[in-house]
Amino acid sequence: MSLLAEHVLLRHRDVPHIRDINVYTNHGGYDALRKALSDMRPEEVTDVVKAAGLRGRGGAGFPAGVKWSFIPAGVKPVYIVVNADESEPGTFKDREIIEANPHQMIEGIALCAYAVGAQAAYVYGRGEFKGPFVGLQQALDDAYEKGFLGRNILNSDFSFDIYTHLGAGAYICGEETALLESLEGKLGQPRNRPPFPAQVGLYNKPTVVNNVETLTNVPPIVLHGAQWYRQFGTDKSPGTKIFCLSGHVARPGNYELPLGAPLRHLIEECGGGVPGGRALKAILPAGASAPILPGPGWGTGDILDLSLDYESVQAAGSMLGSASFIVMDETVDMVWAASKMAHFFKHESCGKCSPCREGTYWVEDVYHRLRDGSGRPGDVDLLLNIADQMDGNCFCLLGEFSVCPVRSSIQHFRDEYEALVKG
Amino acid sequence: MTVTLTIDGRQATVPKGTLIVEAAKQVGIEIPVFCYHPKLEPVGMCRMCLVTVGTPLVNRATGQSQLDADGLPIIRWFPKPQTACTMSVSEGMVVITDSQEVAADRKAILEFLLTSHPLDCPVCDKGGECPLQDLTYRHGPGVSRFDYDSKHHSAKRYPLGDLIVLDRERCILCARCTRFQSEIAQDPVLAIENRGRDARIVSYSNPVFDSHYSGNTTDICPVGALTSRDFRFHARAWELTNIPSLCNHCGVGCNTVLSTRRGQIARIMPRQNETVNEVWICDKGRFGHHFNSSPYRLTMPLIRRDGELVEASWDDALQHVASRLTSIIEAHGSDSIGGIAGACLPNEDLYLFQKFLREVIGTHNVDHRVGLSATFEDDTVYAVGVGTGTDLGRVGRDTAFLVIGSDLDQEAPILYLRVAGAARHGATLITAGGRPTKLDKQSNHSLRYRYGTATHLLLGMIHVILEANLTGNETVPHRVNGLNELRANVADWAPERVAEITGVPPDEIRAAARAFGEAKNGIVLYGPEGLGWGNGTQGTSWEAGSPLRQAVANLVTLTGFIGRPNNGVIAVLPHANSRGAADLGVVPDRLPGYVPAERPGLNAQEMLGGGVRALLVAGADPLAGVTLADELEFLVVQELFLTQTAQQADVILPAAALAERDGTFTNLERWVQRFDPGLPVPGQARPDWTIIRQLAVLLGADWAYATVGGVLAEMAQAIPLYRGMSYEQLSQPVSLSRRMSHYIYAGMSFQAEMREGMQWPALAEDGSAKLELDWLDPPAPPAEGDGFTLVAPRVLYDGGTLLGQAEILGTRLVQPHIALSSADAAALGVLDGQGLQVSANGQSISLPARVDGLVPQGVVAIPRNLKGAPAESLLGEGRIFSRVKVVKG
Amino acid sequence: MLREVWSGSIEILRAMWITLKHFFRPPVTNQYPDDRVPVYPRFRARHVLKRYENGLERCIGCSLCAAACPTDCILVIAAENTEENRRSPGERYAEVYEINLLRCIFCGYCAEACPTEAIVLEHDFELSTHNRWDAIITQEELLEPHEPDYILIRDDQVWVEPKWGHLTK
Repeated sequence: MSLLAEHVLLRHRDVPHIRDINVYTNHGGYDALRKALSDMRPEEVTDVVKAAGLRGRGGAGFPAGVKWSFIPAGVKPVYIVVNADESEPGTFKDREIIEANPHQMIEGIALCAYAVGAQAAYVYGRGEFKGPFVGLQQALDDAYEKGFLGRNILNSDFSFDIYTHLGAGAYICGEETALLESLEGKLGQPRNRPPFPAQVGLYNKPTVVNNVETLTNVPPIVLHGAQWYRQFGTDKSPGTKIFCLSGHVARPGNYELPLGAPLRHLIEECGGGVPGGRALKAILPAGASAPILPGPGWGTGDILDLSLDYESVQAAGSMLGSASFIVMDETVDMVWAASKMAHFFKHESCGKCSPCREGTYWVEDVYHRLRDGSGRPGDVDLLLNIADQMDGNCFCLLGEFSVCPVRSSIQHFRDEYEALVKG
Repeated sequence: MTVTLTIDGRQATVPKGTLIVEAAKQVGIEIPVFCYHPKLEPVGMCRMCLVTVGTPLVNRATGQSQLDADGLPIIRWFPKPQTACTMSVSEGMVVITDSQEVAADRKAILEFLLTSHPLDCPVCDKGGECPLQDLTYRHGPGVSRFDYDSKHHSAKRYPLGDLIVLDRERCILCARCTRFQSEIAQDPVLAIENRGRDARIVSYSNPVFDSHYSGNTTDICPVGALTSRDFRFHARAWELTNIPSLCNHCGVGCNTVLSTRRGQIARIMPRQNETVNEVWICDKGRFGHHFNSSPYRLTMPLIRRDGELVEASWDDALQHVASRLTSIIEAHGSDSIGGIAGACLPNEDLYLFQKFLREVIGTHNVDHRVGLSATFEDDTVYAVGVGTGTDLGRVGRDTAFLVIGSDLDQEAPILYLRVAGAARHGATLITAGGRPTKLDKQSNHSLRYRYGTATHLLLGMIHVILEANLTGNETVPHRVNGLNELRANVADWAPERVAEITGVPPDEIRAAARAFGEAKNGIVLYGPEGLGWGNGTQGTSWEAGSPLRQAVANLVTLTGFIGRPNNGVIAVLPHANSRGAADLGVVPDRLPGYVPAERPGLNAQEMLGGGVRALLVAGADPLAGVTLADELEFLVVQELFLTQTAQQADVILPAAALAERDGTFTNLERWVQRFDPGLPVPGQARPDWTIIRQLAVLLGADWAYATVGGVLAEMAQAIPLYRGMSYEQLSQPVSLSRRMSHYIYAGMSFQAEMREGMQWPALAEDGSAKLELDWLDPPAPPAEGDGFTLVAPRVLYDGGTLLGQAEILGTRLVQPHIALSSADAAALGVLDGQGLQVSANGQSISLPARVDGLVPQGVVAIPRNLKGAPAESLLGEGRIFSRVKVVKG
Repeated sequence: MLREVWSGSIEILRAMWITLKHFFRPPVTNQYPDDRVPVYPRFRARHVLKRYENGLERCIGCSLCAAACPTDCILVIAAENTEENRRSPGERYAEVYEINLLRCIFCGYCAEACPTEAIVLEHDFELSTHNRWDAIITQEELLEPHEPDYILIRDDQVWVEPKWGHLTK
């Protein structure tokens, strides 16, 4: 069923109990760190990650190795911040890694730290990750005990610490600069960029901010090399990716596939298709933060032929983002779906910039009206106009993304909106 | 380093690092803003300043910009509009602010901001001078498409402390207030809580909004969200008459605007003066004006007849004074008359006061050193004051500050803002004091000496600087006498020995001295807490402070931190015109302009102790808590209120307050500044200078001063320091380019014209003047032993005559108490609020204890100038500290 | 000649006939003040400060009438409502409201500017006074009378019980 012979990230599915450090080390765990510390210079680690073409799995898809190389030399200390604030609706991949395969992430963090010369890493989890972080802390304690973390790791002169921190449960803190603010104990609101965190990050020091899944990719890359990694995926989007499948499918869950796998495989082979023989109406490829892709009967062409890599999804008019696929069948009221997302963005807007703070509030208000049955003529155009007024004017991407579900749902399902407007 | 860019087709050449919004201002293009303020770090929150920006496409190989077919550079446009308030200019940048897209964005942002705004402009205090209102008229939509019933409602009247009221519906969450508090005021007591539409301004400090600068947030608030309790609903903006004035509460000389309505002050706001107060004033200056309209003001001359003060006409009162003075002079000679003038009086009044005594009466018995002024008066600034052109708002990394014996946040709040701001911009800050102060949080070196050893600490620093040869190479060899003698004298004061006396570790002395000596520019601010050590037996308090003054002067002279801008000494004097009182010779041993008097007269203590038979007091309260000396036959008091001194007077002459008259003040940095009259005089009160003039005429003098300006004109001729000053020049508006162009950027300091004063040059600025390094032995360090060191620090909200009338300041006004450390409180077995008995010099008083984490162990503090003058009664006039016994009870 | 005399006489008789006719008609003079002429609905005379139905003053003390006034004859001094002393809805009310009728030109700009329709030029034109001071009319004189039957103020909301009917907000 799987396109992979063996999982690269979700290794616990192949190796039971891999979250136990002994099981992990017995199956090649921390070999990559050992290899890096004994045989490789820090730049070489960065180079191999660059050569492997590993792209950030948090959503933006920025090449991780390039990001690491932005860290200025000679400025100390350097921090690593691991973004485990997994808050995108329909995304649950980092949670599975932290719960089931934490050591691979820890090893990845350590490799990154070695590559950029960091002294400390902070794993910032969303407030609801209280449970997973208990296990993560246990894994960290084990790694300290075995000498994979702490002073003079594996008898080298490399010393490094990992701390965990739980936020208070704000979507915006998944934005890297808001995360840094929150980590510093301030109100979680994004910062101006430039300067970027690589220059001025946590406590005004150079900082690498990477997603959990990104760093989990690093140990196999370092261990097996860039060439091995590039056997998966496409040329521009190499490697494997965890796809979070939810919604109207028979078997929702996380599925690790090489990038470029067809959507049909994800939904039909992995997810078991839309249950009850109902038609696929729409897909959200990246939670709430990307335009909706209409199903075969509602859009042009067959969406299921879509190749799941960053470029193809973009070409189809959406974004791969964190690859959290929410599948909606024909029973779904798209205005309802869009209003849920509008509510989500209104609830999660940090309030720093006025277009997002007021715009999301306004959009939700119009949706309330439509769904109450008191929609007025012109409300659909009003929604589009508010979206236009927000687009490009917001401080960070939260506000910019909040218009995606509004616009795309109107674009593809305008008749459902018009039906709610009293003539 | 400048860059040239194009904004709407206009070329602008501005320094590198300038923000687009500032560059646009320079070519006369106004980009609307809400969250941006020139004094705050940009954040780009409100998105009002969105503009289209493009940069020239640069060929990476050659570094040249690529040209199109017409030979014009190819511009690469940013895909999204950019915030002009966060983006710095770059070479060849093209900015468009007048396109349809930008207009649409502005309209969109305003429509968003107005969705939750209550639009209650008719009842809003900001209405008429509101950036949101004005920018909506200019750029906004005429109607809102937002459902009125869906408006977000929140608290309309949320008291943010007892001075400021917050209207959360009007708030547009620009965070100017929170940023002002954390960046400028360094009191991070305001914050935003919650998120999204529920975000709101809160203060969790106790007491709420605990800051000396809270009123400034109401100025910079771009909507009517923050209003002051004082002004709330009292007037609409267009009903006010705005008069340029000065603050009379401390020596900083903040420029203010008196906004009056119907003959009363409706509010006081800062007036921009970048070299004095920028666009800020403290809450004391803002809310402490209520004395003007107090019902207790004196409005009629009073003459004591048969033991009772009865109303009289001016003619009778003045005639009575003149005849009594004449008869006393005839009977006992001129030197039986004396005068004490307060340092709150304007320059012209002080000048005429001393001239009256010296020329009309014929005595040098004149002084101003009573009350807070008794602690110190300063003559170091005459020689080594900060150079003309000093601007503390613009000093940076190459400057070092030494603040010794001064709690700037309490003594001169706006000076605190400026010094803290300089430290924030990279200046080196050394604080030295007997106790921690708020400025310590910003300081690079914080030295904690035992009270009474400030001079020793300075000698230690001088020792290190001479040892490391950090003397000023340009000035010292040519212009300074006595370096070798000084070197010999400080040879004994190695840091190790100083450490034993002061308690400051030698390494810290070395590090601080080096940091100061190695800087390019150096400024020393010294305050009252280094002075006035003594037990009341060794001469006057004034003399007790001389060694420290000399050490300060020596320190800046030998390091060469003299005679240039941003170099020299600032004495943190207590009163609005303390500097002027020293300049104008309101002391018995100096004539105006620091000319020594041939035959010094009696000082204030001697006069009050019975040295004179008739005493003239103007604007001072020297007899507070003191009984009249038997020798004193005749006491004349010019006052606003029936003070304790006035109650004992034979004749009381009602005086006009600052807001009711015009005149000039000289501030700590020697800026002579003019203020205008804004209120009607209550009853028959008259400005002090006219009272003095009329007395002089009655005594036969040929004084024909018609206006204050005429007095200043004579001063400008008679006193070399004030040469060239003219009353007209002092009221010239500053050119537009120096002003903040619009209130949208700056709060409301635009309302009365910005004026700049005139600064008299210190002696060191005359390149040919020789400077002396004199030596004064430091006073013997206070003996250790039983008991405590009693300190009398100055506090901002003290019990002064004028401030006591400001009921709005309420609980902020400091009540008599004795502060001590928690360890000492535990040892004495007292809790907060319980009584403590303090005794010294045979006096004993009982006060409630206040446990204060900032008071060092072994020290108890009773602030000066409180109601009933507890500190002064224990220490004697002008003393700052002494050894006392403290017991519970 | 005779013809002219004749026609002249006719004219005189005709005129006298008209006079005679009016002699028996009822008089047109109104016996003011016993007999008052009704004014037109939009007639503008002395100002009135209106109230809401629940008795609260409409005036919020915003001074916009004073700002609009071309003769500067209106003085408004505002104050803040408290729970104990609530005079208008919202936060602000006019503590002092005076109009100098000697200066007023009855242009109606004040009513035009009023955001709450509190000040209205009504029909009372009997404005003569015995001295000039009385021409300055105060708030007590301007406010329309209101004697509520029963007012209950609770949590910022004002409930009124009219003589007949139910408690209304």
